Amino acid sequence: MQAELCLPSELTIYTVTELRQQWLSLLNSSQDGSALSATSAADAGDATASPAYFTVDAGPVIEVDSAGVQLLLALSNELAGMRQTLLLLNQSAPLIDALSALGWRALLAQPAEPEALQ
Amino acid sequence: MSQKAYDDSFIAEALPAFISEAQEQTDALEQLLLQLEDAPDDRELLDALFRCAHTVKGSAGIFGLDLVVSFTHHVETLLDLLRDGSLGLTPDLSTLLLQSNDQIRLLVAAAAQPALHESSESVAAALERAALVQRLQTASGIPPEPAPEPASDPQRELPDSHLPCWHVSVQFGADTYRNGMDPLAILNYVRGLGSITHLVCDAAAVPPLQSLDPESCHLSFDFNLRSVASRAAIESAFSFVREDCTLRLTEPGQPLQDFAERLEAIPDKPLLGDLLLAVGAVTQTQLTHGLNIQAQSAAALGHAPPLGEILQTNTGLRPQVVHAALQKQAKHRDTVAGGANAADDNRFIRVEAQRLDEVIDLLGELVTASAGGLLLARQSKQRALLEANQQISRLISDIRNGTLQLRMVPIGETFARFRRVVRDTAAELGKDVHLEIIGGDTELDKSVVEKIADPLMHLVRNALDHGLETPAQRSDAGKTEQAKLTLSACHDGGGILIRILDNGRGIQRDRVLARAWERGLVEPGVTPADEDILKLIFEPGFSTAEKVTNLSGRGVGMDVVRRNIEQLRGSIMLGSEPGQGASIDIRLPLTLAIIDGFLVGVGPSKFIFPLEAVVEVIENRPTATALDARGRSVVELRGQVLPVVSLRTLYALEAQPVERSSVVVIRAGTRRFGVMVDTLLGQHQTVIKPLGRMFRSLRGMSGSAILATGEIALIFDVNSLSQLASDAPALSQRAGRSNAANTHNNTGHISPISNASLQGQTS
Repeated sequence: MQAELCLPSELTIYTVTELRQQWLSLLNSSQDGSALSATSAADAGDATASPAYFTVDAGPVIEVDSAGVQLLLALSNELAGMRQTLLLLNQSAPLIDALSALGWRALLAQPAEPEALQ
Repeated sequence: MSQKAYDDSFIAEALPAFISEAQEQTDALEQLLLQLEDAPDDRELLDALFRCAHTVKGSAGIFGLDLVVSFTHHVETLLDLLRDGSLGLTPDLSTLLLQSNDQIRLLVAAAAQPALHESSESVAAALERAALVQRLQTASGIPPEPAPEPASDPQRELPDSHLPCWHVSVQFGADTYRNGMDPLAILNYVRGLGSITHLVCDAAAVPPLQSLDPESCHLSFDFNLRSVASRAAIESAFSFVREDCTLRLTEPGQPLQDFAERLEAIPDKPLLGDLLLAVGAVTQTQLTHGLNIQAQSAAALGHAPPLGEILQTNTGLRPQVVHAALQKQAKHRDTVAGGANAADDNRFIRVEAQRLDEVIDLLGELVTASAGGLLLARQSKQRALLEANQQISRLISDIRNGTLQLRMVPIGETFARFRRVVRDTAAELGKDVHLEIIGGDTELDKSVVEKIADPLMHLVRNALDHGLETPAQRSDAGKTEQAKLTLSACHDGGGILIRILDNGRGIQRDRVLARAWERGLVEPGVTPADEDILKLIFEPGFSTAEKVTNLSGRGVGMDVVRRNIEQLRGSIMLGSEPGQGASIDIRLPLTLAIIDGFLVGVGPSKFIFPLEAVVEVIENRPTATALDARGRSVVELRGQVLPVVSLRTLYALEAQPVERSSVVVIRAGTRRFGVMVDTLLGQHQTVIKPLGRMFRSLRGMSGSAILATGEIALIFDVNSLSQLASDAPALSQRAGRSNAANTHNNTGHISPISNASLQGQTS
């Protein structure tokens, strides 16, 4: 499936300001559609229709620093407020290293039933 | 435990000796490397190089300076290959070795100052070192280890569970990223110190995307660190972010008994802070912080809270530890009557320059006072008193020389620094430059050496940048491809002469002149003497931009250089042979504090010439011609014409002219000139006092002195006096008066005395 967001190769202090803008506008545009449907789906108790996962393609990430990780955390926190969970797909080695080093293995977690996403 | 403490105290005592030795070794390494570039196959140099590196490594090992040992090891490996002949020295390799040597120097310096240890052990430094190690290994043909640890640490291989477990809690400041720091890199560095477990990052501290300032840091961590590293070493990992991060280190695993025992074992350390520091219960930073708080509270409350309490509340220091330290301190106070610790000061005493200055200042007063005593003794005509006073004067003179000697350092150390500058700058510019250093053992006052380093650097860079040509240009001009730059120092009269000589393209006078016309420094169309043209380069308005660099080859900030040198009571002179090179002569006084002077009088006024500048005195010699408006004339001296200047006229002194005045012959650089005075009062040792603000603008003077009688005498700066006496009227502020006077004086006097004519007589 197509990820909703694709991370750039550089996820560092040099790119975070720009990325934050991009991500926010992406979230705003999707809020009208999918987020609303998420709410309605939750209201309706219909788990299958809900995009409870916000999928992010982390494959391209080559360079990542603390500011980059922090931005991912902020995205995760933002999504939590929208009752969505950040799901990192296709995790690149640098990203795994950085998240592990900073105590954020939790972000690397994959859903219990990954086949549901395929 | 007591054995370890004994070792520690031994190390603490011997460390300074190691540091100074290691510094000498690294200096030697650098010099050897530079020499080796000229003679890449010199077996002896290679052996000496290897020995130096080996010595550093060996003694660093004794002191447990693992960083120095492990890094130097890589250097040694490479040097060994060079020595075997299995590798040849390439310029790249040489650069690498020089950089590595810098690194060793840094590491040694860090070891020298535990307080600075923190900042030098920053992440950036560690990464730089790791990169160097990799390059060294590549050069040595060893496959680089994958991801070398920032701090190679043999203890890491020990089973972790035996290691002390620190709890680290750190909250990074909002500006961490903006300051160029990355917590990720810092944590990775901490991993080099030991193993991190139970790392927790506070997610709630990071705001959602909507309200996030992505360039502010919101990260904070809690983790356990199993490591044998000292508190200071762990804290040092955070040194670059220390300003705005909150760091708390606790050592739960450490039995309190341990601290107490270590305290017991510490030799005589009288201060609580020192005691705690010595056992590693607090770090220097914490201690300083605590002491600051103490001082602030003392100022605010009128009484200072005990340091122990402050440290307890601020650093999580256990009360028991403080208690043990206080007991030790009390015990020490009981036994302290024994007196000074004699073991400390064997070889070197580091003295604050300020204190030395104070002594010299006092000594100056003493010189003045003793001159007063001698004068009174003479007047009393009591032989015994006179003899006693003469004895005192002699001793004071010895003390003075001895004290000034304390401040003397050879200039060679400063020169040696330029080897590297020349090498690197020349390589950058694609030029081949050979640096020759002559007279490096010439000594002069430390403060002069320090202050001359920057101007010299500027001049050397200038010469490299603009004066010397590229190999291609040189061979086109029919010169050797390798350019030569000579730095020399020698005693010259009472001062020192530093000369920077290059065999480059020289200074193009016509371009300098064109520029000076353009900038209005010289009336367009007027062509001053050659020497004066070169002087224009030092004029403040000569140029500010790179235009000059292209134009004249020299000149950026030369007025600043001149000002710096003049502040040292020195002078600077340029010489240039177009196409053949340029020379820069810097003359400096040996010291700034006391001079032997020659006292003269004009009417009631007293003046002092530096004795070294006085060549001879001629009594009662009339001038050959009448004085011009600035008091200039000539006298005949052994069949030669000597320009003279009358102080009375030059400074418009209100005193009745005497019938026959005396002439003091002064040497200023290469020039000689006479100064007409009324009376000669003889040799006089004097302390230079700065001129008051009112007299700063007075030209020709460098300072003042208080005579034994309480009179004030002005001290001449012979170089500026000679300029004053010989300035061409066009450049002079008194031009109008001078020209007017010329029309009145109808005798055939020589006026103005140009630089050229002066030069001609003496050369």
